[in-house]
Amino acid sequence: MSDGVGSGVSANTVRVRLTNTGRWLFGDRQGLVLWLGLLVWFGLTWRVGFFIQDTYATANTLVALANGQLHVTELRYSLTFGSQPGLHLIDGRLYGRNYGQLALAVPLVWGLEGLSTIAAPHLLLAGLWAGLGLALVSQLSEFERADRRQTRTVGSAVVAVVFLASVATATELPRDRLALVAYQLSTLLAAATACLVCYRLVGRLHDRRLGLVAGAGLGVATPAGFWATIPKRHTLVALLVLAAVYAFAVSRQRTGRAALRARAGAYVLAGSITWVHAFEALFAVAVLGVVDLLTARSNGVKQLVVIGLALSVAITPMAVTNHAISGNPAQPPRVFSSVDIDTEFSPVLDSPDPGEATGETTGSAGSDSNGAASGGGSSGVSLPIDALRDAAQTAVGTILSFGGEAAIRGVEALDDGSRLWHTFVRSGTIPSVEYETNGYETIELALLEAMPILGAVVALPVLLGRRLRRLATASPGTLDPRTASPVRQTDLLVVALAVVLTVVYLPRVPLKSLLTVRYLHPVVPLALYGVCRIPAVRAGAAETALLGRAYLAALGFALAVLLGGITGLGLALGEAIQYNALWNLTAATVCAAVVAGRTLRPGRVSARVVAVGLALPAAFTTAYLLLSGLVYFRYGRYAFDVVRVVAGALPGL
Amino acid sequence: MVRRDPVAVVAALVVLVLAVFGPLSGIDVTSAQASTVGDGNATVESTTLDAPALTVTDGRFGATVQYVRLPVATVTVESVTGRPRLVYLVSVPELGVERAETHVITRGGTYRLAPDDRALGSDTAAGTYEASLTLRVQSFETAHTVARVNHTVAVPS
Repeated sequence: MSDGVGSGVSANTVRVRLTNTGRWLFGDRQGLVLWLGLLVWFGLTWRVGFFIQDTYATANTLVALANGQLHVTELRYSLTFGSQPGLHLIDGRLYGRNYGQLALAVPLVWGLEGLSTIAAPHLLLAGLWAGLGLALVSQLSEFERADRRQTRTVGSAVVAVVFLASVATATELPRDRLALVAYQLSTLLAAATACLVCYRLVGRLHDRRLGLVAGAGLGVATPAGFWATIPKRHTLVALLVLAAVYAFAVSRQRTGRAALRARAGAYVLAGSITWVHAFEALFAVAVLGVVDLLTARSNGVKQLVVIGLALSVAITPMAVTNHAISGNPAQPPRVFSSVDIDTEFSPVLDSPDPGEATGETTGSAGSDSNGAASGGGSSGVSLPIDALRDAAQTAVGTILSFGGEAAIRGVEALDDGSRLWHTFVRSGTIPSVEYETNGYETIELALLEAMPILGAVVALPVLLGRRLRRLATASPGTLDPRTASPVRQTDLLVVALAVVLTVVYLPRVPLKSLLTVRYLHPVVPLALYGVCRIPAVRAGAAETALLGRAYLAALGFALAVLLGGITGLGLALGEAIQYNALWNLTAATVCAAVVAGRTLRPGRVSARVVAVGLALPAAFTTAYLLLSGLVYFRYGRYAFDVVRVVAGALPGL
Repeated sequence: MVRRDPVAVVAALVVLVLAVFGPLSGIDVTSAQASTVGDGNATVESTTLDAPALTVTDGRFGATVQYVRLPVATVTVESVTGRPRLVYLVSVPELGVERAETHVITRGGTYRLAPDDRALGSDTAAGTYEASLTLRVQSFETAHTVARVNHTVAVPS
């Protein structure tokens, strides 16, 4: 290693390793550029603050977790005096939930707090954003079609200007906000990664160009952008579900060990949702299991053992966390009653030792039976047979009661026309929603309003009808799902996941504060996959240059009519959201018309018309994302002060 | 001379700025936030409070709630010392409506204060309600009302 040749070789090896790792993660440079670009884009409307009340409880739990304990002893963030809604009282200690999501953010808390000793917190964010921008510029300049020198010069000049403007206008960001920043950053990374997985999935099954349209589309033309900086579980669950679909698709395209590895990967990804939200995980794993076993080429002992091991590995973090909290690996904190606002909670904020504070903060049960272990909150090392049996009983009970009931009630809800209309098509003022919580403002959107590109799905019944006709005339042998192509098998999984993850939440939607029906968020990437599978959409997306130009033009139009409405009509918040929703529905109708036209009469509707018809709903969704960030919803403080200055110049409500 | 890579130059600039204005150097670039009120006072030349524009009308585009439409206030400030703020307060006590719009000022000029409209619950009874519109100048040193108008607002059934 000391001589020149040796170090040269090792540097080369490192570079090869890095390239290989990058290729494994991002697929190719296009994937990396997409990921970096979407991080930069999501960051633009990032506000450091609390959009939804529940986040206070989980953010405080993150603070605890970053300090090495599961229970909350410090209320760093609080909305009111006393307890925060969303904490659960178990054996005299207060616990949060969604630990898997918080665990992802813990390294970011450490990283940001470490970096803040060198750079001031508010400049740190601007610096990280500039770093991302520079990485994006240097990757963009490597494309064959780009003028390398020019791209690097112009790109870095833009980054420098934005960075210096952010520094010049910087306002204070207290250091104790960094845990919240990390929490939001982890969600932002998950959102960009979901777009990357979408790119790779569609790119793998079709081509990279369509993959790029799909990945970028998920970032700018769906509510994924809305939830990218709001640290709720939905973004992460959406990512894990989509990633499981990707691994499933890979397992169908590969053979031998590679196929089995991917198959196990799908179970690990779906199974790890248990650590975030056991209820959603239950359905994701069940659907994956059924579709996988039905369509697999082989379900031998070896395969089943590997799948079983993969699932056990995936649920281990959840089981360990649950065991540490309640002593029962199958009982997530969420199933314990949530503490109400009156629960005595007197955080000793200035206590030097969190362990000492425990006794005082836990309210009713001063000294708990689990002993004084504060680090990790473990309640003993041994896991007796009784506990295992209890866990199994609880697991089965929970699955039967929660899962069965949700499924039955979901199917019953399919009968409720008004509910379906307000959930999927048009919100307006929804009779069953308590708008009082949000100042009587009609801010809830239906799924089609939040994602008007779903208008394209009108073509699905036509396509389904054609397929059924073809199947009816086919020989019985071709009906075996095990011999279906990888694409068809993936379609089957996506449809099954989308249907099940929708139906189980139907009894609970519409509801206040869902904004874009966020309970159905994991379905959003799946739905976009479905849109991309429509041949008419693929034809339109193949006109990529036109699609891009039409999108930019339509975005200008959308911003003009929406901002014009806000100033010209003097719209209030609820009116502005509904005005935007009606424009989105109009765009969805245009999209539906061109896609249906192309599907029914391919000779009459050109691919270029379809491209324009896709650009319109995408642009109106982007406008909704931008205005949500800059005009509609004001909270917290912009991560980049230069954005605050821009937002201040826009017309207010 | 060797032409440097612009990406590397900007990266170095970013690191340099972070280091210079970081905790280690102690130099703070944080601009005082424009919304932070301080000491001082302001001389107000004229105000416009369009009380008749305070109305209750139905929401549009599918928002089937009633809105209290809050009129814009304009204030022409002759001179300012320090960092006082203008406070525009609209209240309709019997409807539980109280909205304040504030603006910290550092120099004279004409300022526009536009509070957000306020939605009313569906249980609001039709009738007439007393409203008041108040403009004040506030700072840590002083607080005085520069204009106040009372108005009766009708809630249609």
